[in-house]
Amino acid sequence: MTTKANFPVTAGSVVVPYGHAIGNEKWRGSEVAQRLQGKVRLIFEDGLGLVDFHLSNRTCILYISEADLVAGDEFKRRLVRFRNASNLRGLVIVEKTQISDQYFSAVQKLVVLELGMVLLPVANQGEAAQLIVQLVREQSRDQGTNPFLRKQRPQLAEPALFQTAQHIPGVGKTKALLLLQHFGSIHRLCNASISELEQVVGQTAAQQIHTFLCS
Amino acid sequence: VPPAQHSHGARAVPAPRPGGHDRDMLLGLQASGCERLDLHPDHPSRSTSFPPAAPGSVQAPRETSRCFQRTQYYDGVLSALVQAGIRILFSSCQQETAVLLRDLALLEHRKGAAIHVPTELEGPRRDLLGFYLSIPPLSYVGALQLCHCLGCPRDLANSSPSAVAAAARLSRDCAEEIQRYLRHSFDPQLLPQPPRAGGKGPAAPRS
Repeated sequence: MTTKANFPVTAGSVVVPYGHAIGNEKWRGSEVAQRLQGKVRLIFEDGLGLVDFHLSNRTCILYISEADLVAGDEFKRRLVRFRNASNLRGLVIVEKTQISDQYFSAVQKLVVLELGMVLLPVANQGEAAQLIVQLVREQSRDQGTNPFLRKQRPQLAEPALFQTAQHIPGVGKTKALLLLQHFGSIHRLCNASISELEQVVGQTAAQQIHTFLCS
Repeated sequence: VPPAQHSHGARAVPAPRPGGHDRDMLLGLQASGCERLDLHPDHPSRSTSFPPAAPGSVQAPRETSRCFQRTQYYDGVLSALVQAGIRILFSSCQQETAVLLRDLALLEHRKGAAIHVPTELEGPRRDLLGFYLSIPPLSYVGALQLCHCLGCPRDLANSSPSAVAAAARLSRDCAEEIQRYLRHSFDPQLLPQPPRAGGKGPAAPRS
């Protein structure tokens, strides 16, 4: 590994088309590879370095097996090297089994809280393959179908401004509208003098509004 | 963690950085055991498969761990969450969840992202919080920080974005968006429902 210090940790220039995944040569013939067949176009490549699978959108999967977890800290060095050496999005799939369960909390803390990467547990390679299929599908999907992405709000500020004005004590719908129509913006409203406010909402309310906005 | 933080981070973050400002976490999903969120609507029976424990329920954990079958739907939801840039933490019991929350709080503190102002407001300051919360780009925490760090709405309106960002520990983008919002020229025609003509207020509408 050290002889390859200048070699990129990952094949960063690889652009993976949607619906495809590029797998590290070492996964050829594995259960994951077999189960991906027919669902994801999987291409094997040498020289992916630390990365196990490349997906589109600069996403990489690093796979931590039960054996890796039991074997000690080598996988941690691998994750840290990946994190430090690349600006790709790292997604760690970890085998959480009855045997490796005891390590899970510590791994999650390292991966998510310390390294800021994504961690997804699976029970075995079969589950990992199912998960990868869904990850690939989700990436090729239109972003609009993702229920967790905020819908593009209508960009009109008016309804919000109307609400903001009504959060001034003593101001309801009617006065809010009058104030906004008269002053044109919250900024101008904030800088209005008491006498200017009085012309719009009357003396008592003007005093109340001025106190709220200016003290 | 106030639920209002969701409004802050539900937008996708292309490359999440450790301890960054995207602090949304989803707790409670877990990959094994039956207390997890059951995400498969087609099999409601699974989520309710806690047989009221046969006497001598020592075997319950083993029994229940069998009933989790990972579905495509579950993986699909996880993938969508990942794609949306939402951080997911897995926990298998309340104790683990408590530890995770503690770790998160410590991490926020270490990264200088902890809430550094009192979270309880009294009297008129509550109205001020409501006013700031109605400003679209502001999260709950952002509004809270404005309440404590800037004198009044007029000070906010007349401060530069960089001054606002520094005083209330907001991002520069957020501060600029606030200033744009406050200066937005209001057009009543663009309200979704045209306001009722001739309101009942004491002051007659003038033009």
